[in-house]
Amino acid sequence: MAHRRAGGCCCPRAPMNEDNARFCLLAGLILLYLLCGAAIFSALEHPFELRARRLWKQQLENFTQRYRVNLGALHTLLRQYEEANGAGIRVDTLRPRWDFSGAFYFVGTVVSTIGFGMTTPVTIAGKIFLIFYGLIGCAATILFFNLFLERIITMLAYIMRWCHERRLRCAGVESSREESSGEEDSLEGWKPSVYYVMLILGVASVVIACSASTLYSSMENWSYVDSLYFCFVAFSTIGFGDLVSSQRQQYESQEAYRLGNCLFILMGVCCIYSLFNVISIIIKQTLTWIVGKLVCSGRHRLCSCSKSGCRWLCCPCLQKKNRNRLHPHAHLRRKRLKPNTVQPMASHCPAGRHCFRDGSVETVCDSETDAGTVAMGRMLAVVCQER
Amino acid sequence: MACRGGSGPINEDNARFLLLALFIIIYLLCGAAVFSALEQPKEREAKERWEQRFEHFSQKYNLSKKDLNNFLRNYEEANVAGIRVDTIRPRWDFTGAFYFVGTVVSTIGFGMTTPATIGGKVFLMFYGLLGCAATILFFNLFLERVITVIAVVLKSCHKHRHKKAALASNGQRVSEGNRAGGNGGERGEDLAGWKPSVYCVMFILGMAAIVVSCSASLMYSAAEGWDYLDSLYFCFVAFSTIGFGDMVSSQRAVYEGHATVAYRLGNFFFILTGVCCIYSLFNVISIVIKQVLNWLLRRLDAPCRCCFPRRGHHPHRHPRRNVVAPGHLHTRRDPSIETDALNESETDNGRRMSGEMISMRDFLAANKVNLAIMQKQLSEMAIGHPRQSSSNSRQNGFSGGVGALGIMNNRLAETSVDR
Repeated sequence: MAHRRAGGCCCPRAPMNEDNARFCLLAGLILLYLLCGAAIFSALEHPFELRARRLWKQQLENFTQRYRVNLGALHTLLRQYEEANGAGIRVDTLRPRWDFSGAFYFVGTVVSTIGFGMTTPVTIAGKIFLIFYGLIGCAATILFFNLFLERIITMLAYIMRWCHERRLRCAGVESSREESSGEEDSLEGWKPSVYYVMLILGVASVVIACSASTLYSSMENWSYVDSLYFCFVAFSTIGFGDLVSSQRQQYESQEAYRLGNCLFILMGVCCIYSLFNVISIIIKQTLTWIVGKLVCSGRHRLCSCSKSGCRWLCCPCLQKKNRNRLHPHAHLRRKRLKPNTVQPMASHCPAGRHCFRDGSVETVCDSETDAGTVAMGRMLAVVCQER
Repeated sequence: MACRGGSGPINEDNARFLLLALFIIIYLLCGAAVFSALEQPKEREAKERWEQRFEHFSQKYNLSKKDLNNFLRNYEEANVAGIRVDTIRPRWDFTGAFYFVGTVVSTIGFGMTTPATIGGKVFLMFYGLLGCAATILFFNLFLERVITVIAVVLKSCHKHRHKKAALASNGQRVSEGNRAGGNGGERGEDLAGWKPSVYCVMFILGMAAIVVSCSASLMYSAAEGWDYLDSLYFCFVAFSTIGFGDMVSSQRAVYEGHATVAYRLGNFFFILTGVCCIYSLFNVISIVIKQVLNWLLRRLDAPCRCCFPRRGHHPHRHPRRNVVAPGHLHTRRDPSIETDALNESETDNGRRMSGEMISMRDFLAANKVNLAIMQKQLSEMAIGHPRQSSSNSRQNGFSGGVGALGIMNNRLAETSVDR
């Protein structure tokens, strides 16, 4: 692909731009992760599978011999039983599948994309309706989770900022004023670190999972580990369906349990979804770092040239001062920024100082295809600082 | 909603969140009623049928119900270990385990294979934590790439069409002027700030999803012997990552025509492509739903606007975030401050007392920033869009936006002025 060579920009160039490189690297790493995971799971579970097969064969033989049942007829019965399983029938009677509360549980598993599978539509009309229903429902629920993610990060940033303020105030105003320009303790540029947010979300998820597990292990008589496993599988929306809560016909304090089940699953999915997204930010940063290391060996630091026409990864031959010449404001702004921080951006600065008053999250798509917006972002920062 | 001069008890983001929660609950209730009506008759039928067969069998071979039930319980346990009447492929050989971890990290979770040992379950929790996060990132990056590609393609079509129109209507003089100006956007249409409409992108993604699903269904109905409709149903359930597990592809040990390996590879690629497409489609549809919510919120707010100039805003001076109604697609072009996704309501609460008019200083400040922005944009247009240093996006953990909404922020026409 043609790229305009604006004088003296870069030394070695990478063959593809940063976004594509990161995307391909991630795909490669996930594939590797899958292969390793497959090997480990295979080693863990294969022996049990073989044992279970042998056990079943024995049981089948014992049964046919003891009761003198024709094997073929027994197989037919078992096939019919499999069919009945699909309609939700088990040996020990479970709650009805398609009464209103059962159907509500079902549509809940559909829109959240958990999809346990304990209840599935068998009629043609049901399947067609499911496709259209799921299209809108899943989109709306994804929006719900994404909005929740934004809300919770905003709230966390706000709280952490408030704590930080208090700590600063207690420590005394003087010391903070001395170090005010561009230092970490100044509130002007302070944003919470992504690692703190991940820690908080992680602790919240663990708390929710553990409390939910105590509920499930007491009500369903699962072992605690099984309940934790169920919590993880449900909250991550994987939803195998080997263990499903609230399936029996009768529980003590049934209504309370069903309500608790619903609330726990809702909160759990929201928290784990947010946790996944925050972890994915860290993974993205790691990838960017790896891509940088792969492209630029040695002492060149990775940059993306901001000169016109230079749209690729490159390692700057020129030192810092050149970059400053091109973007004095970027340099200024960089002083105030720490890595891994949430960036609030003021729309226009209120009179005087304190542009970054609130702990809201900047969601400016800070990336490459949007020069106009990005320029605006930098401009705003400059305007704020000039006041 | 009562008229309140000032910011009101709930800020806009929270209001939207609660409104969405309410709608989803209503949606669930209606869906439950419809499904219940559709499926309950069949359930009763299936129950009766099974009871008949059970009776018949126990009588024919003179078995007590209890013994037969015990036997069936054993079979249920065997099911958990993946055993069925008709031999299926092994669960936990390497390829089976690969299929399993695939369903885990993509969160599809069919459930045809599940860990039975404690070690497996514990390992799954840690494995899934990292794997699902990485795969969510993968889908989000895919979404970003897809929107970028669509934007580039649509923009070049747009430019092409625009140039043609300019040449046709104005002849020689303007065409020279256009060429000199660099981008073909002199007469009011600023192509530098052009972004594709969410409806266009949704349409394209929808078409792609349909094409992938239909081709995948052909493959599945040929290889698995399912109905075409059942295959479509399976495709939807798998690609949306719901993954019931009532129907699972590629479970047989061997497929006719020595096509086993090819089929397994095809299965893998179709599921991968399908999930990516449908995930992107869901996210784009979610933007449309967000627009609808914003519009609804504005309608609910409308009576208040006439009484009080709430927060002293003139709509066209300081366009509120998320005010683009569905249908007003390309009207917002001016580089307003709110293009940066900011939690405007929070700063406003800090600054404005209830219902006062915009103060002169703020008005000037806003104008100053607007002018500065316009100057900057014009200079950048002249240079030709210098690329933002990526090191910035590396330094700030959240500055690239959180989650899929952050990815789509400022990449579509409707998400540029609002959030």
